[in-house]
Amino acid sequence: MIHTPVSNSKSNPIMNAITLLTRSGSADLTPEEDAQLTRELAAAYHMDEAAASSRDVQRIAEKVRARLASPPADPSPSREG
Amino acid sequence: MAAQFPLTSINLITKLKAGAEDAHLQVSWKRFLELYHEPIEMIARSSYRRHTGGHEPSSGLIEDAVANTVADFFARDQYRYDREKGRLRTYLRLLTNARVVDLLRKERPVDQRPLDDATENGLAAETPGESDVFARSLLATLVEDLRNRIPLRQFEIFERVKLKHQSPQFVAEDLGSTRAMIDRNIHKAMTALRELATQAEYQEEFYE
Repeated sequence: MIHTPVSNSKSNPIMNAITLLTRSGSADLTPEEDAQLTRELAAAYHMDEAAASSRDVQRIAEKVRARLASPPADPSPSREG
Repeated sequence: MAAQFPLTSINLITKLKAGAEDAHLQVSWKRFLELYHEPIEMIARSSYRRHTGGHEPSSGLIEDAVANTVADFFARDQYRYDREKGRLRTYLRLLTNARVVDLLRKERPVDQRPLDDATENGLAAETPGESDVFARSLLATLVEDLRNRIPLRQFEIFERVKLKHQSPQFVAEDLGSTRAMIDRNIHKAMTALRELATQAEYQEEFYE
């Protein structure tokens, strides 16, 4: 099966990193490829770390907690994707 | 953070895509919020602009939209994600759009366009920005799955060298190890990461 990247991987560092990660075969990455992949993995890791201590995320978390404690009201979306 | 959660052989992405039906596969909603608040926020902004003819949403409305989306994703029964209906990223976009429409109805700015059925239910194509930020969340999910997949010391070496940019030589000396051992551990961790990334749950979210 031929997979199509969600966006153009040649001009997109994140999708390029994903393409490198999922490239078939066990061939090692070139130093340039390894650097590109490492850069995107580190960016994702630091985004996650920042979220854990973010006041904005903590404020949203309080709203989620309050909403989960109250009963739901609206129907779920049902369109396929 | 992820280190607070017990090690498990079941991938985080698998748990997320199991929906709310399987209680034993539940992911903490707070962990989900940390990992996916950015793509949900971007979808909410995009959705608001589309429904209002280009107006910028307030930060309060976006916070409410993200909170309501996350809460609904974790609500049992009514909002359960059904993998048969499509990709997780598509479901999140539908759910976020629906919550933005709810909030718009309450907000009712004087210049708001009518929210007819077509506008309310229609979902614009995913923008490159949404795609990128969702992909970054997936990479963060992948890193957490790696943490739970490989030996703790191996992940620590991978984390310090690859994610925190400490020099391999420094890490070797700090851990009382050799440079060659550090390199071997990083190679093994990277191999495990690539194996994880080729699993079906990730493939269907990475690619269309």
